[in-house]
Amino acid sequence: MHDYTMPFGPQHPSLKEPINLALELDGNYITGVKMRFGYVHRGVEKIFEGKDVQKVLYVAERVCGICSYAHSSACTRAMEGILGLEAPTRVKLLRTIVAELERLHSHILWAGFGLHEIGFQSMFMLFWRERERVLDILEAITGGRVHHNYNKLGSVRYDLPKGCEELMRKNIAELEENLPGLIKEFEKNSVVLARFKKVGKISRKDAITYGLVGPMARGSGVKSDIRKIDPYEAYDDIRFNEILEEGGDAYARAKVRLTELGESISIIKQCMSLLPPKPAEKWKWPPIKTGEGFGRVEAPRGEDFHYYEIEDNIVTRGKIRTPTLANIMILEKMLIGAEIGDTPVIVASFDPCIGCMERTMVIDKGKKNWFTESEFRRKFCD
Amino acid sequence: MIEWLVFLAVPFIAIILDGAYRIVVARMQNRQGPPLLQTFYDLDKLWGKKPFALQADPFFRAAPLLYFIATYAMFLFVPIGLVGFNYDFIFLIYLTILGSAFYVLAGVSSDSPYSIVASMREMILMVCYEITLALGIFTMIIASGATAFSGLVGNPVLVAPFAGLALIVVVLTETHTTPFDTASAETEVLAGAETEYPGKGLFFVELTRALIKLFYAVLLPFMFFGGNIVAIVVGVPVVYFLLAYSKVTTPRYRVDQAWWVLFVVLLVAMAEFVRVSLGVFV
Repeated sequence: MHDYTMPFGPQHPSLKEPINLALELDGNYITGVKMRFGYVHRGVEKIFEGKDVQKVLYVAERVCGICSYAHSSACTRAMEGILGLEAPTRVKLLRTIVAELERLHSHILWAGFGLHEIGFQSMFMLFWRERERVLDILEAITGGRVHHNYNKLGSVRYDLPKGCEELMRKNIAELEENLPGLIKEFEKNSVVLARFKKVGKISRKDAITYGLVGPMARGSGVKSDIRKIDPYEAYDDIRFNEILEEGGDAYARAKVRLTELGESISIIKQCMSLLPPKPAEKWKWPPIKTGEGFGRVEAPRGEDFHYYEIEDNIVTRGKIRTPTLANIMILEKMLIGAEIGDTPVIVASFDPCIGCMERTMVIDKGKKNWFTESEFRRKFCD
Repeated sequence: MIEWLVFLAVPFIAIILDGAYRIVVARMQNRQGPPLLQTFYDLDKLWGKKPFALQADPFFRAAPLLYFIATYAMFLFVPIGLVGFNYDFIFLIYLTILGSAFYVLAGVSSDSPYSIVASMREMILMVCYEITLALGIFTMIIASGATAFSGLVGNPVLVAPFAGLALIVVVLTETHTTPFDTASAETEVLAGAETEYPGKGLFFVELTRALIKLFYAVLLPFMFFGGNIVAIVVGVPVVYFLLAYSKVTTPRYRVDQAWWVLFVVLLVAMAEFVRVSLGVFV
């Protein structure tokens, strides 16, 4: 078989969002990858500029459609840091509950999707049925299933409505009943093991060198949980484990995500038991005179970092570093040498969120649009 | 006369059973599923499309029709021997290989890299499963002591149970059911060999897929229970259920893993063939 190139995306059944990988093949094996991004770049950081702090909170949430609340919390954390504001305990606990619910739904979404990649349609359906229960709770608490608009500076927009706690108890009990069976199927099914084990290996050294975050790093045994390293909201007062796996392959990363489901459920239950009674407080939007600050949170995919410069309550500069942006650098290294059939598994094991990742776009005007390291140094550093 | 009417009705039976199969799969997956006649609606829509193909390659145009004819012709031998003759099972084995070969041809004659990769995978797997199918059928025929399909009597599956198991695995591969649907893995090679086909070409490929399911659903009980008509009527839904069950409960192997599994099955079928033909432990 002579060498040829196979396009993987931008439109492909195994991709949720558009990226383009031109796979150079030698027979059944990948010898080179050309990656092309930028299909869903919207210039969110530019949209921040010149907007009120209040509006930026909502725009920040629109960076992503899966981990939307993580962006909102990172933004809130940055702004509250500038103000030196600390939220009341009840608010902290409520925010933690919503953040963990989001982690639950994101990881369940991944589990269904990862198994769909290897043709396990039924697990996709069954996992997503469980995800619906989480979304129902999120809708009851925040009013939205995808975008929640839940945070205010120093407070949240809605307290728990009537009947919400019963719904949470009921749905979480159902999740606790159904999820272990599905996870067991993942761990025991021989075909699943054959497809996920020893695929997309990342050594511990590589994980540190490439600066991986979230389950990608934890699957290679690198501690990277922001909830432990730099606790925020109520994570200080709650007992939970940082899940680490040593394998470094797609299976280890999947295992990290599936084990985190149980941890998230436990965190939500602890938060619910710790909730103090509803305070009768009057809240006013605090204006920010000027300042700069950053906030980082543990999004479902890893560390989410936001940086803001504010003058007279107007954001003049925003910068976001999303988890997928940190992780995507290693994709090429992992794909080279793999079989074509492993491509969907490797890409899925990233849990890529392309909408988050599209932070820059190179506009080609016929000039050279990339630099080698030495050229970069010569031009910008010396 | 009645036999020929049944032969003509085969595509319609295949379409209805395919619809039932889709409903069963959907219900197992916690879904509502399509209407019973969904396959018919799909085919109707495809037939109504104007012919449009970027490639003028004659092989590309002819392959789906040839694939359909080779598959439809298999019903001349099983279950009713419309053109039965001595050693007709050898002819049937030729037809099954021909059908797969035309499917591969359809992929290779497309210019799409997905089709070419899918055809390559089909060829890799064919090496194992077509030989296993031939050995399975030979074993059953020898176990029954017949020289043609019409002479098949008794319950050969009780004499050669391992050949029966090998045939079941072959049927999963032939019908592109998980875990052996590597050649049409949608997340890896899109629609497989038929990726580039529009309208009528796709019509023939889809219809042939439904026909293949029905053929192997008939072949298994036919071979296992020696052409017993009651066994066939009961067996066809059972085989369809088996296919649905396999599709629902397993993901798919990568091509090298699938090849190894099929190779082991081939070795089992060989051992069974030697055992039965030498008359050991029979």
